Amino acid sequence: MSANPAFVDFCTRVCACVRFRPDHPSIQRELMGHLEDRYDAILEQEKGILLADAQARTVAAMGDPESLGRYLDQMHSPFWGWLQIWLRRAVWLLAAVTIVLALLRLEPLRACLTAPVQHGYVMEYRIENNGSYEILADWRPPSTLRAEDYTFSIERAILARYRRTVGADGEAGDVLSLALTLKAANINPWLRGPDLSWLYARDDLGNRYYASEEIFTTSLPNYVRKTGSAATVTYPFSSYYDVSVSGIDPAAAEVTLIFDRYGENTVFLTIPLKGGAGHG
Amino acid sequence: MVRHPLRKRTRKQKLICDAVILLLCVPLLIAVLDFPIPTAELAFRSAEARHFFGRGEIVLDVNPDALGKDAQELYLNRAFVSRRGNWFAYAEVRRELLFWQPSGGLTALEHDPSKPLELLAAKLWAGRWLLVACDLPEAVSAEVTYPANDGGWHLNTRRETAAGQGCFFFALDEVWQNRYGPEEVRLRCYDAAGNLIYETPTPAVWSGEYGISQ
Repeated sequence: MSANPAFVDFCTRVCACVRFRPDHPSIQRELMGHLEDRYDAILEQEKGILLADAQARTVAAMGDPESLGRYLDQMHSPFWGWLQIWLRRAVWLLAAVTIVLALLRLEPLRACLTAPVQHGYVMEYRIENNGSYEILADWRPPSTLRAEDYTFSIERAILARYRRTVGADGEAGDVLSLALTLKAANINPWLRGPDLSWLYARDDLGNRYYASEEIFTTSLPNYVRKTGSAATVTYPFSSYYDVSVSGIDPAAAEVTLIFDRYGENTVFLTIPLKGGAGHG
Repeated sequence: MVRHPLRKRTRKQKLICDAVILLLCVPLLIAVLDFPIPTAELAFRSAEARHFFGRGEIVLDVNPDALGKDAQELYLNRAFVSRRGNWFAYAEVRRELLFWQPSGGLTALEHDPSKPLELLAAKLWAGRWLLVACDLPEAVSAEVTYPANDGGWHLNTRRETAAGQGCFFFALDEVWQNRYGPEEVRLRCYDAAGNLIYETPTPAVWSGEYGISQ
């Protein structure tokens, strides 16, 4: 059925007052629906009425098109209308860009969430064990520590015995070496990868195992007991470190990792030395 | 009068739908972009936390010009100095498009409170700078004097008025040889009238090692 010219004219006059043009088709559709409903009702109530009269009464019943248009103009504010249109466009564009980027970075995103354990050079060297070490224990210590923004835990520990220079005179002796894969988990991804270069260790006999940063800044001799710590891999929510405590006194029963650079014990994680002489 | 309840509901539904998509997209986009840091100060705070320094009070915001050419060539766009007790922390941050990242490490320096004026440390590459802690509230400018070699040993003096709270930051354009560390630097500070209010002893190495006569 073709649109009634009188109704179309009414709708056009109403829409002329509505500034937000993208809503014109829907306003016209709705007005046309009302006009046709009323037109049908008049035809039904007053049998024999002339069609032109019925149309005129229908249009008159709708009121003044300009005042109706002004009312609808208030309801269809151009500001909110365009804001919604551009917001929708921006949101969908953002969604499209996000999906494309996510598809391109699927593997790193998966790694972010799963954060698979990765051992560092020292731990891999111990695992391979080329025969120059005697592996005394290979275990996962239960020690965990919550310190500031991080939770530290040990994914794997290998205690090995080997011979090395133990003093300034060049004498050799048996010492223990502890290789650790240390995990630092953080809830806040902006704090990933804490710096552990000042991490040192102390055993229960009182020996100090100097941090790599201490050795570097104070030029300690190379036979001193050392604690090495290097980040192996850093994910947004967890990082793995290759930590080694070397030159451990065979009589020691436990080693404590310490970070107290600023005068307070921030990290204080004790690891019992399973298989060391201190454990009988 | 014609009402539009259906149309109003549809618009509201569209807005809710857009808001939901936005709420889902933003965290995913942040993750996809590898959790970028929106401001330089937050990048510095991140460096503080990663180095277990704690949250210090920012006492100095070093602008890119002060960092020198070397630093700018390495895209070190800004630096901050914060203080927590007797400890100072210095860290540079670099801009990465719209975001910021801590650049390298954080230099933590401990100030001896018994020294009213103390050279804490110097960085001599990729932006050469000196940080001087000053506990004298009336000091408005500080001066460093150190040996330099331009074909022969002589003394270089730099004066700095742009102070942080309790510290002065000196960005150096020239190479400081730094053979003896803080022992070869003389520090002075002045009040608002320009009067010398404190100075460290003249380093013995100036005449003994460098042969510089004053």
